[in-house]
Amino acid sequence: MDADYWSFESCLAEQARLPCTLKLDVEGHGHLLGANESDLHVGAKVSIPMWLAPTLILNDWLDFNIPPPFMQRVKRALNANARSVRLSTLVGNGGEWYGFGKLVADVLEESQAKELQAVLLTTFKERFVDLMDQAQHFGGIPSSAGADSMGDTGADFREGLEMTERELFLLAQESAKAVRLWYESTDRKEH
Amino acid sequence: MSDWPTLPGGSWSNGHSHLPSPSPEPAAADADADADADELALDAERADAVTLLVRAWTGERCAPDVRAFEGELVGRIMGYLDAQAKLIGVLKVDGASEEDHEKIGLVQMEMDRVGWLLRSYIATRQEKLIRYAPYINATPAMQTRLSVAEQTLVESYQQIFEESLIRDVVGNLPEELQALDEVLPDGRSMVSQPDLDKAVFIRAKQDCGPVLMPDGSSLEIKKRGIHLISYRVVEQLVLRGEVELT
Amino acid sequence: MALPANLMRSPLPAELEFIALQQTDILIRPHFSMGKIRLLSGSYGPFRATANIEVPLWVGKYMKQQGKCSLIPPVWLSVEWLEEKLRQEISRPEEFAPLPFRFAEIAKVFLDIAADDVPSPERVRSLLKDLREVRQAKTRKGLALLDEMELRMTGLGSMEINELRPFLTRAMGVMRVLASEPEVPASTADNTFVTSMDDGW
Repeated sequence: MDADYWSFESCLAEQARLPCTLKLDVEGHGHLLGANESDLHVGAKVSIPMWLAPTLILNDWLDFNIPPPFMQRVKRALNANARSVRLSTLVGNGGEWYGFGKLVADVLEESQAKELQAVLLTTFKERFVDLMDQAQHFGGIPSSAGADSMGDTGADFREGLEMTERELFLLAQESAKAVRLWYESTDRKEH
Repeated sequence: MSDWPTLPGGSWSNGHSHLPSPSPEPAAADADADADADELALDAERADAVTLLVRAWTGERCAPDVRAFEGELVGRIMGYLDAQAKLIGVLKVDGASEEDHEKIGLVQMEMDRVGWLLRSYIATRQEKLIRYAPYINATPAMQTRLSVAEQTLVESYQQIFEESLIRDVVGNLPEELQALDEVLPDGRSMVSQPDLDKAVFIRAKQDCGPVLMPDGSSLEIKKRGIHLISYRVVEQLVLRGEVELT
Repeated sequence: MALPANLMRSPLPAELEFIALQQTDILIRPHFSMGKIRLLSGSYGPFRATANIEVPLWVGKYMKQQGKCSLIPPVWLSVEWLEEKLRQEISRPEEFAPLPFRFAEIAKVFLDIAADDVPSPERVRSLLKDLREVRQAKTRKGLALLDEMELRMTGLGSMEINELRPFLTRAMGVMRVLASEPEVPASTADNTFVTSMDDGW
């Protein structure tokens, strides 16, 4: 989820596939597009990895559909309560929901792209404070506030984190743990 | 050893020994001096050579890019450490009083502490130098921020890194995959650059004029204000010392 | 050796304590006499038994650990002061009560090695913990305002900032990418097919 050549997350997001429909015949190269047969014709359904899709779409070789993780049904669920949606289920374990979504937005026309980006941003904002709470609860000083407010939904929420969120969770947990260990450490000398 | 001017009226050991004095007495704390509120007095900080080193350390740790090397300061502090070490050696040989022992303990502790700060400062820079070596080598403006030793480090590092990469990996790949400076269609480059848009925490030492945000709006940064903000937006304020990275 | 990558994300709490020890002056009451000492960070002394004198916190810690002095706690490290700040912290939900920037580090040092010099150390400890919790809850609320550009967090202490730093800088980075303009391929090798971009999808 960052603009670095060496970013592993970008790499992961780019593996996600976009459902597409061919707008021209492809003779002999079907396997390159992930199909079983080598000759494909106009209207054939293929699913193209995100790293390849922009070029093909820009060249008007194919049409694509909004992939399932970003369809209306999901948007409605996010609208109702972003925290209760399991993003990890939408993109498979270890998947990048935000990264994938941004790549999809990048190939959409402007108004659709803006709408999808708004969904991504709003979802992120609505989840990340809870995410930090949970991480601090599991790494930090036991506190009377914090994760208690989530009750049993905490475990569900954690399992529903997608990859970027998991990385953030680990960052917050690591910090909270470092602070807790520091508070617990001592320089007292036994006399 | 006697580079350090001894100020009249202050030797560190009652005339038994003659450690050179470190840099001249610190000037009064800069921005914090114009205390206008109780809470500010709570945060009055020192303004001596070690404080400057602490600021350099903090700045280097918090800034996404490599900052200008504090060569003069590092040299000054190294000279002092050297002189202190020699004099402690002399004192120990001559046999020291109990009071001297106490002072030697403190001076040694300070040397350890300042030595750690120096090493950590240099190591922080080295991490960035290695991470961004190809970029630095290709960017003369960056090289001016480095000490001579650091420039040598960056050049040698890149040479060794590329030799090993070519020998062990890239050399065995098809020719079109051998580039070490590939740029992807979306603009991401194999040559990593410091991300100047990265968010940093700043603490304002004074009221700053409005700063221009990426979306064209402007932001008022008030004295003592703490903001999480893109480094690029406040870089000039940081360089001018109006805000501190923290 | 270059610095390990995880240290580049944020200084360690122990490193911030080191800085606080360096940058904070405190009063001590020596149990001994000693002439003036000139250190890189300034001159201190002469030390006389029972006469309070100002030194850097690390000097005080060093002497205290040798049983050579008592530390005088700063005014703010007291039950009355902290109770007042806790009241303020609760009654003013929109801002952080002003505490010294390095209050957590300084308090930790005092309560760790010089608890016998702090009146009611347990009460002080628990007030600091309460303050920490109220401030954390406030931070949580404030974070709802975070966008990809800026967040004002005036009043936070150095240790509080440090704990939030890796998470918040990353979260802001994510938001920045999500809000950014499309990363359209700069140019394609073969653009003879780019004829009908306006067709819309």
